[in-house]
Amino acid sequence: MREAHALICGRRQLTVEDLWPVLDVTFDSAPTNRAKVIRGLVEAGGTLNTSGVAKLLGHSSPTARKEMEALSVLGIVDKSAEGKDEPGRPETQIKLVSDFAWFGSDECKSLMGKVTDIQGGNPFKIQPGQGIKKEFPPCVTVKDDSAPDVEEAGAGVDTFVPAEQHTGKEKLRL
Amino acid sequence: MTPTPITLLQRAAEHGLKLGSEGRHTLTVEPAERCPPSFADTLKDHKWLLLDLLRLPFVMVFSKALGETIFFCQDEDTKAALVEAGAEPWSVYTRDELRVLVAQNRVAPLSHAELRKVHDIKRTFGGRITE
Repeated sequence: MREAHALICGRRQLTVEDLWPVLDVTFDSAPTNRAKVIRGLVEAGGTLNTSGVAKLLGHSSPTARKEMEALSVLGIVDKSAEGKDEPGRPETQIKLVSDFAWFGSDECKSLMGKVTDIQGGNPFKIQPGQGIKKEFPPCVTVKDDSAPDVEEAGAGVDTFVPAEQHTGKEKLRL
Repeated sequence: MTPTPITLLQRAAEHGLKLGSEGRHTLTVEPAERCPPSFADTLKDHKWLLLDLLRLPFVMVFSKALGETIFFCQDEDTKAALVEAGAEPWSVYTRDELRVLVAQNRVAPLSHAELRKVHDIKRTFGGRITE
């Protein structure tokens, strides 16, 4: 990707300018909420607490804690002792583990800053009114699973007659 | 709330009942004497969905190690059908996933705690076991 970015920028050598698309695409490859938290960690220098994550996600604290737990299980962050983030007690905090500490550095933050500087953050952005138009076909068939097909329903009518409900030796037939 | 086919299958198991089919149109329940009339009526109401479910290549088992009901099925298509029928995605293990677990178990036997961890990860991340 770096090479491709260099080429489309008219260069044959890699420069630091070719790193941000890699970072951007990598972050966006994660599930939406996770990507938001990771970007938040980059922005915040590698550490976030529950309220910060909740604000980033626009969700409640339990949702934030769940995402923090996910990042912890994945080994991306260290999470402080589990708490319910009750008033008067320190909030749960996540911090990038040492292997990923670079993402909390000023260098990474600076690189990610280029994402928002360059052409509104996306050099390939499709302007309104351009791009592929998605339209539904003129006729959409919606499968209804709530009922058996006509043939089966018709064939099964007899079996719903109470007289058909009988016991064999040990089997009930419906 | 309308019970899902999977819920009915689990309730049948709780009653000690085995559901099966005879041909395309008959749902069988055995032993008959254990089936409460009200449950028989419920089964009858959902007969067609249950017959569809019973045609799928899968087994439902209660795992003592995990403390919950899980499903072993043939492939991803069957898993998708089970999920549509009301099974939780993480509770369904495909044959490919089981193959990986069995191979791993041969290398080093998996403890209950490790199995639970794998199950938890499946649940938390909607994951799938791969090599």
